[in-house]
Parts: sequence; structure tokens; C-alpha cells
Amino acid sequence: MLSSRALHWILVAAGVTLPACGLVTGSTERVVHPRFENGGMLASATALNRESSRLLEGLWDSTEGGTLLGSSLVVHSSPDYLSIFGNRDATYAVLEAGCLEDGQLVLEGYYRTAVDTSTGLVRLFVEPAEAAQSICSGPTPNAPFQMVGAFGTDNDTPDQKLTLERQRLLPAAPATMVIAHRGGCRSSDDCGASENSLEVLRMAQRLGADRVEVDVQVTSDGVPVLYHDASFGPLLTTGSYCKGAVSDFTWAHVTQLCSLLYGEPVPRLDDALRTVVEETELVGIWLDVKTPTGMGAALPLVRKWNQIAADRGRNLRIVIGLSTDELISAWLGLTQTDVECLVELGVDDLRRTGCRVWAPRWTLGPMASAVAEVTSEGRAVAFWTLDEKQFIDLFIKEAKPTGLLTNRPGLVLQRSYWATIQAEGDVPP
Amino acid sequence: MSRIVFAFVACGVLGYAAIATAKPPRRALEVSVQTGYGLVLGNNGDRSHELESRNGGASVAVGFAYRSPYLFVPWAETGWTALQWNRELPKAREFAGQAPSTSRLTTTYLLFGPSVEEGIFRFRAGMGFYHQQVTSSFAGHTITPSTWDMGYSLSYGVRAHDGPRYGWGLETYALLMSESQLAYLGIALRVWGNAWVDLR
Repeated sequence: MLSSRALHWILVAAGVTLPACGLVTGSTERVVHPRFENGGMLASATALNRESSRLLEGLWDSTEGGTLLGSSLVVHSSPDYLSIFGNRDATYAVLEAGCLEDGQLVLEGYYRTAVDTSTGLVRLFVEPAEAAQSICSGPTPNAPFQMVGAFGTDNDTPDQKLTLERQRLLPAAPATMVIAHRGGCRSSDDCGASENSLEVLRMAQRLGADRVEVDVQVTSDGVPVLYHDASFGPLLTTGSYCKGAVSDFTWAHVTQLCSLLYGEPVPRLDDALRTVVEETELVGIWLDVKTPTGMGAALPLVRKWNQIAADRGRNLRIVIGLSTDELISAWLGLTQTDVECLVELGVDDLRRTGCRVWAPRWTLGPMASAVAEVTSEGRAVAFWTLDEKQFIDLFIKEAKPTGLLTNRPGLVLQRSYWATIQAEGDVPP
Repeated sequence: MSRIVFAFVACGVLGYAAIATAKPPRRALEVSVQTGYGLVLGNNGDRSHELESRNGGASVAVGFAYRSPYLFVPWAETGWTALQWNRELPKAREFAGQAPSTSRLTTTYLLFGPSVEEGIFRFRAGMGFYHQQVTSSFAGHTITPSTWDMGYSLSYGVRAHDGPRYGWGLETYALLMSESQLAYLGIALRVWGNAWVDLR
């Protein structure tokens, strides 16, 4: 038996450790993407234009450094960036490319392993030199070329060899559309920006998405904002006074008291739509409105930005998501049906609302026959939310959906291109 | 107003406790009132526009403990604590002409757990619920959102006087709010008495 004195000191020890545990387990350190000092070699390079960047797209394989990205890598261009998506631990690299005065073509940036907090710098050169010069000046190189360089850990100088060889060009289109969850990734995925922020919308294409899903809540004075939860709190925001229901805050108070986890302001839906239309090439936005009030507040903005996008010749679909019976009832009560909708419930609800997109939860299974039936009616099907390679492969193969919502858009894009290549029977040796 | 009622009730209970008995009890229900002041660790967020701030503030609490011949003394406590206050300039450009915002964060809590007493010392560990309340005035509106948090508490007290009817002492304590990652470290004056005793 323990004496009362021994128990006393056990409790004192607990008193010392408990607060430490409480504070440490609650701490949230963000993964910050490393950067080359003084801008790296790109600081003195001429940025590669979009057309030339596309010449580097393709299905690549790593002949050295395969432990980083795995095999069957998809190199994909987006405005100002080239991304490499691997099949190993959902690792991806986001690079910028530039032509140096001596004719070299350098790619610099960072990699992130999505399943953990690993990150580091990547520097690659296009070889041989004739190919680099050809790409920098425009035309497609006549001979095969490779990317040779290294990757490192965190901000350390890259010192582990990485060599990539192109196996073939990418198919005309991936097997499925890639819809990035919460604007690009969740804050907990540490992709470099907070979920539902303007920054993550700007990053979405670099992460592999061509469409995004964002969440809409409404402030007490009727301003729709991008935010997932019903309440502000430390899981998604910082700010000592940023606590409580979003619907209790005025827009002025949101700007004053709340920041997202990477320090960005909570954006208005209006600013988010402006960002997508004016600063990205994204072709779809799924607005996950959480309440009928949110839907009512979002509709005028959807009409406004649909019009602006059309005036600018932008290929963009803004879709209102209906995820509850309450939202469906509110939708059916609308007099104007000039906005597209998406139903997350059953097929009957889909037909009742006249929505063009069905978005079932992935845990219901691939439901191949239901998906085939819905797509045969000219509607689209997008499952939410798939992040694991084996399930992504299963759903692409069995359900053949129009799109997949994911927190790992790069992995879905890589699996999606790979599925197309397999279906074409044109798998590289 | 509710705080004044709270203080009156607490004083009444304590007064009754003080005259309930004059003999050292074997089993007793102890009622205590404490008031103190403390500091808060863990203020987060953008403070670049802050004009003035205060981390911490006053606290009051009323508690109950059941004394017995056994080692552990179960206790429960409810209290109110001022956590933070600040005044800061508008952050967003669209509100640039507005007067500074004034915001205050307080918590009302309910905690329970065991305590161990040896000599004149008392160590308590507890857990429970913190209801955090924000009051913020900005751009012509005052909002009062609130949220629940779970957390712990730890305290170490010393008895300055422990008479048969009542006693008083000093207590250092920590209120730890886990999700919001706030820690309030305070020192308080505690007065206690017996509301019920078993004199057998």
C-alpha cells in the first residue's frame, strides 16, 4: 500500500506534468514550406512561360531518389508553376521554372509528404543542355530529356539525388475531375495555407485540382464568409476573442477578432469568387452552404460572378451544394432557378431538385449501377471525400465518377491519369 | 447583478458554516469562498494593432468539499474569472475610420476532483468545464459570443488559520483550458467553514 505521503507526492508530480501535457498536446505548429535563400537560382532566371512549361508535362519515373515521390509521377503545369505528383505517401512537389543566362533550365521549389510533416527543398535541371535551350526558346525538344538534381530536408541545401525520366505524354484528360476539399486542402494537412482562404484558392491548381469545394457560413449581419464549422474556435482560427458561433459575429468583428491558422483573414464569399474568377484558371466551385440563410446570402453573389465569368469568357461553373433536407426544402421554395445545384443526399432528391450533380458520401461505396444510371441522365457524379490511394483507385475503376472531392488533389490527379493510361492499355514498360 | 447575488449567497452559506459547529469534525461538508488575481498565458492571434491590453484579472469562486477520514477529499468548485481585455485599432481597411475595438474574455467554470491534505498544505487536481464568454464592441455593434471548453485545474494551498468553525489561507492555482490553450495562473485568499458536520 502506498503511504499518504507517497500519494501526495505522486499528485504533486501529476500537478507538474498535467499542465505541460494540456498545453503541449494542444499546441499547433504549422508546417512552413522551405524556400531557397535569396530566391535561389531563380532569382537570376527568366521565368518559363506557360506554353513552355507545358512541354515538361507528362508521365515521369524516378530513376534516382524514388523514395521521395515513388513512381509513375505526373508532372502538371498550372499558371507560373510546375507540380510533380507521386504515388508514394501522397507526396508532391511544387516548383517554379526559369531559364538561366548560360542556357540551363532550372526548376526550384519544395516537396511535401501529405501523410506527415516532411518537407524540403527541390532543385532540378533539364538535361541535356540542348533540350533545356529548346524548351526555353519555345519548340519541343527533338530528343528525350530528363530532370536531374536533388532534394533535401526542410531548409537544408538539397543533397539527395533525384533523377526523373519522362515515360510518355499525359493523356488528353484524366479519368475524373479533381475537386479540392475546403478550397485546396484542410488546415490540418499543412499545404501552406489555411483551408477556405484566398491563399489556398490561389494554390489549388498547384496542388492538382481543377475545381474546388468551399464552405459558406453567414455572419449576424448577413455577410457570407468562407468557413467550415458553425463556430469560430482554435481548430481553425487564431485570436483570443475569436470564439463562438459565426452567426453571433458581425462582419466587422470577424475582420477584427479572427484570423485563419496561417494568419490569413477569414474571406467573404464575394472575395473568394473574385479570386477564383480573376486569379485562377479553376473551372468549378462547389459552395457547401451550411444553412438556408447561407444559401439565400450566397445566391446573389453566384449570379453576379456567373455573369462576370461569362462576360470574361471564363469557363466556370459555380454550384450550390444541398446537403440537408432543410436546404433542399429551401431550394425547392426558390422562385428563380438560374443557379446550378448539387445534391449530397439520395438520387430521388437529385431528381426532385433538378440538380445536375449528385455528390454521394464515399462511405456508401462505389454504387456503380446508381452512378451509371445518373450519368446516363446527363448528370455528373462526384464522391466526397477520398484521400486514400486504394479507395481512389477502387472508385475510379468501379464507379467511374465524373469527379472526386479530396484533400489530396495531387494524388487523385496522379491516380486519375494513371487510370486513363491503364484503360488505354498504353502503360510504359 | 448576478455577481452581486452570487457574492451574497456565498457569504450567507459561509456565515452559516462558521457558526455550525465549534468542534473538529470527523466528517464534514466544507464550504469555501475565494477571491484572487491572476495572469493568463497563451494569448494568441495578431496583436499588431493593439493599443492596450491586460492578460489576466480578478477571480471569485465558491467551492464545496466533503471531508472524511479517508485520504482523498472530493471537491467541486464554480467560479468566474476575467481572462483578457484589449483595445485595438481596426485591422481591415474597410473599417479604417472606426473607433478602436474593445474586447473582453471571461470564463465561468465548474470543476471537480480530489484533493490531498497534509499538515497545513493542500494539493488539488481537478477537471471540468469552462464556459468562455466574449464581449466585443466595434463598428457600432457589441457582440457576446460564447463557447464551451474542457480543461483542468491544479492548486496548492497553505492554511494560515484552521479553527474549529472556520479557517482561511492562501492558494496558488492554475486553470488550464485545453482546446483554447489558455492557462490562468492565480493567487487567491480562501476562507472556509463547515456547512454540515457529523459529530459522532
